[in-house]
Amino acid sequence: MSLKKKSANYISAKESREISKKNRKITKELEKKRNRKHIPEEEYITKMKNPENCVEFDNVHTYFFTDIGTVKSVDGVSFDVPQGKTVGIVGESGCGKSVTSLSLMQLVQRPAGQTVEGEIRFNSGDKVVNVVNAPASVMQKLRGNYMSMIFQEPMTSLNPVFRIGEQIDEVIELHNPEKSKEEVKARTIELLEMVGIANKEGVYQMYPHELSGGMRQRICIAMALACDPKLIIADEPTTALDVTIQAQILDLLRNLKDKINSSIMLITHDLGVVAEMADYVVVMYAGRVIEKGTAREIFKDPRHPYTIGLMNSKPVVGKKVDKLYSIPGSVPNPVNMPDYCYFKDRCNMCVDACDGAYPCEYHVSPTHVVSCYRCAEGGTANEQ
Amino acid sequence: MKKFVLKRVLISCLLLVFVTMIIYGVMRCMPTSYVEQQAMELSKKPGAKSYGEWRDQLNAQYGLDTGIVQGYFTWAGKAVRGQFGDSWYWNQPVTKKFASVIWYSFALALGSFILEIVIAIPAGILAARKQYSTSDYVITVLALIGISLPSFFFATILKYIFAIKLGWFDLYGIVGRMHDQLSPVGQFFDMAKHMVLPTIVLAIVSIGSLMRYTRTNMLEVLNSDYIRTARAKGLSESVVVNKHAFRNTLIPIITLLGGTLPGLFSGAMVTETLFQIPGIGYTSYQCVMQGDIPFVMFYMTFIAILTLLGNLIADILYAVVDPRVRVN
Repeated sequence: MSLKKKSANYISAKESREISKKNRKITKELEKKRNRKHIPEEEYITKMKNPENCVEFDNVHTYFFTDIGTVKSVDGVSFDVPQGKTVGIVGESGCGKSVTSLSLMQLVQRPAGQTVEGEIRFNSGDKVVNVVNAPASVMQKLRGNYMSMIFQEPMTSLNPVFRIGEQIDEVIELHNPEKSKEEVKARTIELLEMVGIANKEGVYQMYPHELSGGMRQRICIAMALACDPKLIIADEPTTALDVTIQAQILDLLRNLKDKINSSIMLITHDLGVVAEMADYVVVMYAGRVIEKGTAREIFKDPRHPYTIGLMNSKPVVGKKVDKLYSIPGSVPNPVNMPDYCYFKDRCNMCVDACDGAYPCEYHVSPTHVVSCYRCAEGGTANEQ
Repeated sequence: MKKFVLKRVLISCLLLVFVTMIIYGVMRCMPTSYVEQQAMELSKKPGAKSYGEWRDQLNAQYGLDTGIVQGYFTWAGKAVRGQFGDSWYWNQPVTKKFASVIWYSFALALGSFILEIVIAIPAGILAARKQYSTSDYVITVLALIGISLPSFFFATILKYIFAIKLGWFDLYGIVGRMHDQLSPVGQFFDMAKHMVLPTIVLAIVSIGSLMRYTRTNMLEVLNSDYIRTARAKGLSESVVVNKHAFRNTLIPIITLLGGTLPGLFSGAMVTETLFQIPGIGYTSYQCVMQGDIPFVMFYMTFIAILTLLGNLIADILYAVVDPRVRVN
């Protein structure tokens, strides 16, 4: 009994103290490296592997050093976001979707959360920045200007004490210091109109609490689009909204994307949204990418048992089922991840090879990559 | 807004009536009676009237021969016309005595109040920004020491170091030995110098709670979604903290500070006594001990008005900093 308890989330105070001591040592060193006064350009200016891409995630590891152990939220994630395309990232809660996007913005809650390994190359047009090593001053120029984010909680994402106008003006002023006050306001009004707010002059003067959730999400989108960013990260932009508003918001995003030709990273657990919006799909599970490919490949020909389960567990109109399918079991404890395939314990399609190490990536087609031994035959292995 | 303020003022007036009524009732029921003490002393004089006769005569003189309710209305009727009467213990008009002592206390309280804000709020913000760092722990421990140890302890320590060992300040009193020979400017600085130690003592004991309060609120605000939005806009850390977070941190702090308005005038009895400063704290303490009803009534009413005013100001300020509570 006591042994069993120990293997779960329980740890003694002594162990916890030791862990937090070790964590402090690690994070202190990382923070020291990050907070250096002058960081030479060579450390963060790189080249894209493929200049057609907007973002390249390359073996990214983002860990949280907590008092009960290191949580490997993002554990070796690699995928690309091509320019002008929409990439959908799907996976259940806690699989590292949001942390991946926050790592790209360098907004992970420090000092506990740290991107410890890998590269995130961001193509800002003239320069390619490796976000992982970039100093705060460089990030501040990128955020809001070249990459922007729409958060999942429209109700709390706006500062309650400032007017809507002020909040949008702020980001335009910040990245376009040459614009006059009137120009900034004109741009804000234009943005409000673009996101479909009828009473734009009135809303400009309002406070966030005077608007509904859908309106607030539009404001967040307007704010994210203010500087025509190269990349828009939409972190579950429609989760908090009702279905009619959802469709409007998605339409809006799609139209705006075409208008300013930017890439979208769409994070969601709503497969319907992905099917409608995405060109490419990345499926994540327990901090790793388990399958990625074009939207068509993922939806028509899912290979990983988790993706297959995910597809089966979505309700289909016109199909009669007694009980909606759900994947059995639950995600392994993020502190002590097993050394075999993370999905093995929940998988009903296991083969003999599954007892071995974590599967590497197998190419099923040039664009379709799966991390599962079932695809070992016929696919070409990729060293990881 | 006007309507709101007017409504609140009217409610405050009603509250004031009840507050003063209770205070008057309590004062009349107190075991120490100024009249009885006087009657006792007078009756001891050779050839004097008996204690009972003196008591009845004095009761009639001081207006205490009526019931509590009637007595209250007599007092209140005069008070609304601004007549607070003479202090029994000090033998001079209440307002005059009050005016002669209040400014010492006010200067003391204002000095420590400013010192408290200037130190506690930045320290709290710093502690929140660097949560669990060395500076956070140092600030927290110092604040806890300030909260837990009593003012007379700090007063004694400060006196020992700065008055006895270093000799920078006098041990106690409000003026120096050569006060009368100084020019008016010199007299002012002489008094200011005597205020330094008590101001520091008062600040030390009050910094802790405000600092902890600021730290907690700042932490809560810094972890909120809109701060992440502000960072995602590309704002620098100082703008995020000083503009976006600070305005939100201010909301609860302002309610706390609004409540300290009466504290500016209520005096600090222990500290004033330790440094022998003739402030309102010490004076009102003596009056309560002597059962000086007119003075205590005036003082308590004054504090009650300030408390109600402080709440009203806090509410108005609340609406200024937080648009969500603005009344239409």
